[in-house]
Amino acid sequence: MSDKFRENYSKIFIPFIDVYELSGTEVFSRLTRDDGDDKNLIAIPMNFIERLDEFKDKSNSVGAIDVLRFLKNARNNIYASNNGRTVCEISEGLDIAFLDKPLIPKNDFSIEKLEEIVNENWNSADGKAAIITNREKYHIKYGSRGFRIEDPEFLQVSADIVNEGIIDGNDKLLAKLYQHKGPLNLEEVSDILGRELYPHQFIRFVGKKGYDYARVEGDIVRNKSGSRILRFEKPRLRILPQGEKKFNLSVGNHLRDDILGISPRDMEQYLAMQYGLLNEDVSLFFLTGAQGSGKTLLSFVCAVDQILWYEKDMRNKRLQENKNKLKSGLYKNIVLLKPNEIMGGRRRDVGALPGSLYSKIKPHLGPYLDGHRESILHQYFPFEEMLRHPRFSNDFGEKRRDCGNSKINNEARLPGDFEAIEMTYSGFMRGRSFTDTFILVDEAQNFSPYEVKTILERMGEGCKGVIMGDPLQVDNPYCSREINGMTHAISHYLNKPYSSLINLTRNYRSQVSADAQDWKAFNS
Amino acid sequence: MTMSPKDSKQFYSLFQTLTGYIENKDELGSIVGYSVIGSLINFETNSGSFQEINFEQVKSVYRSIENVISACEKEDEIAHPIGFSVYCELRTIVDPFLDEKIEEYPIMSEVHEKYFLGEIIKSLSNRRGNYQDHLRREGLALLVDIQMSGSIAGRRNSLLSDFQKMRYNFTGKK
Repeated sequence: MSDKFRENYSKIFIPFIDVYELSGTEVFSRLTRDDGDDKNLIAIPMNFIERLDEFKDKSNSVGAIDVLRFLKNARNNIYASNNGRTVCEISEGLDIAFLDKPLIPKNDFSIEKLEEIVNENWNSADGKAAIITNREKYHIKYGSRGFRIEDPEFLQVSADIVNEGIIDGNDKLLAKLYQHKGPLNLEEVSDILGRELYPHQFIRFVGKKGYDYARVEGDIVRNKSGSRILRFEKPRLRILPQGEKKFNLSVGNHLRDDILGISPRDMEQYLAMQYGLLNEDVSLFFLTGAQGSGKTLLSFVCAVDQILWYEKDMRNKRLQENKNKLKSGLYKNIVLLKPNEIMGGRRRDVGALPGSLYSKIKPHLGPYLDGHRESILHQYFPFEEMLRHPRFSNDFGEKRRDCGNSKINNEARLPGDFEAIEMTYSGFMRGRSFTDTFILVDEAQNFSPYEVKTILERMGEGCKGVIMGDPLQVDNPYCSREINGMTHAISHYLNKPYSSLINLTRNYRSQVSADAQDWKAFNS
Repeated sequence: MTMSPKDSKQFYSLFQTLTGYIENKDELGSIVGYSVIGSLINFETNSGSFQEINFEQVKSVYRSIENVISACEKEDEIAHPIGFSVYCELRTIVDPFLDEKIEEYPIMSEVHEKYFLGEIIKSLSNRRGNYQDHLRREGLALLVDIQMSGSIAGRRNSLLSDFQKMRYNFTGKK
């Protein structure tokens, strides 16, 4: 270690706490200069480290926890330190500078002072150090004081990405599809539309008798055990038969008019159920849509249907290709994951609510309780039974009651090995991993990109993840329409052969509900 | 029903009425996108100032949306979803026009070049993908933007705000 510091950097960044919370350790790789010619610097005052530590304790933030761990390890590579400055080399393209007393006195910390010290000690080739934050108030406050302040552009994904699930086609392509009388090679389709297409993407056309739909398909090549999709071969576009407009559903060879009493009400809902929620080839499904569009209801009934233990004959009929390892349901159970957010955007832990665990989490389960009531399930048992274990007592009380073991539609019952639904929070995900589980991630727009990344890392073999949300309904003050876990995950996974996206475009609630969407009082 | 000044003709009130007929947001987006282009194809004005020209263009789009609304009132939902016929009709006007203009781009008529439509043609020509999908998304983005902002008080304010929002959502320019 020496006391001779490098003075010149290509760019110097001062990310605020919200950036660490949103991106976790991703911030360090994204702010690294990667052309090998020069280096960037990230400046971190000790006051920020203390704030990160508080954040970690208060809200169980995975972003803050991982950043602190990363920075602790970074201190193994200190190359210069003196007088309150400690610089660590992270890579060929990035150094991190920790700023401590006496350079920055603990009781006299201000952003003005921080910026002044950074600009006095280091030179940035593009002018002065840039503060990086997503918080509007800091943009207004420090922007008007003449600071250089930037958005974390590397985290921004346009909310428009939700419209990629079903795109509009043109007459030329539709004519070609009808003329060809069969699936069309995807290269040819891309040439006609002038853009790339994704696996499982849909195209809507204006046909003679209303809208026609086509889907990007391919031969899915799996590994020997069937657990992984290796390739999406011979990608092609196939026009959906007119018969599909009747919304008949199928699980394996089991044809259905509805799933537990719930039928699709429009084409988007049908596509979401048939080709997303009930499709075994799609192990990660994004279901977006405005309030009242049905995303929670559809996801809930499709998830429950696939964990039920059907009678043997029916089970064989429902068996989908490559899914023969389970003796019972297609998935073991459902894990339901919601952000620690309540309406209004205050971060609260479940411990803050009164009563038993069930009464504590009940307010968070509203849409699922509604789904339970709308489906046929409520005729057999109350929702609470789905949280109880079939043989032992758990946090929700004694073992599942007799009614919870009733035969649904005279053909299936709740799983005999596990709780049907396990409810958890992102803060409790650390160290967990799931197998053969149907994971429902609700209100994903209120998770940070890093939280969704952490959640998806937990998905083990045989799992299916359904990520639901609406980028227009962000309650988490750290997230925005452009920066949130849902749109970020969509942009990362959209081109994967196992992933698909549908945006539900119709509000089935009342006119009052639809009009509340643009009530100014709720728009920040 | 009485109309307060802030309910006077503007995108907000027109879209509120339109969403009463067409509930599918994708269909709405396409109709709004095509209405904007359709209303500007034959646009010309003698207005002098830059701002007045912009206002005239917004008013032209208002008229187009009003026509869509009256067409929706007459449509028969049993045959097609509401709005489908009017959308097909708009496409028969807009598609041949845009096919030609995008093909010919950067050559553009003087009339189109000096008005907002020229900016849209430029934006559509310079982007990947088919314009049908862009128009749906841009129409949808305008719709959401207008709904989120709510109604605007004052005639000139609403015209200015509507033009700025239309310009931003269709060309990215502020």
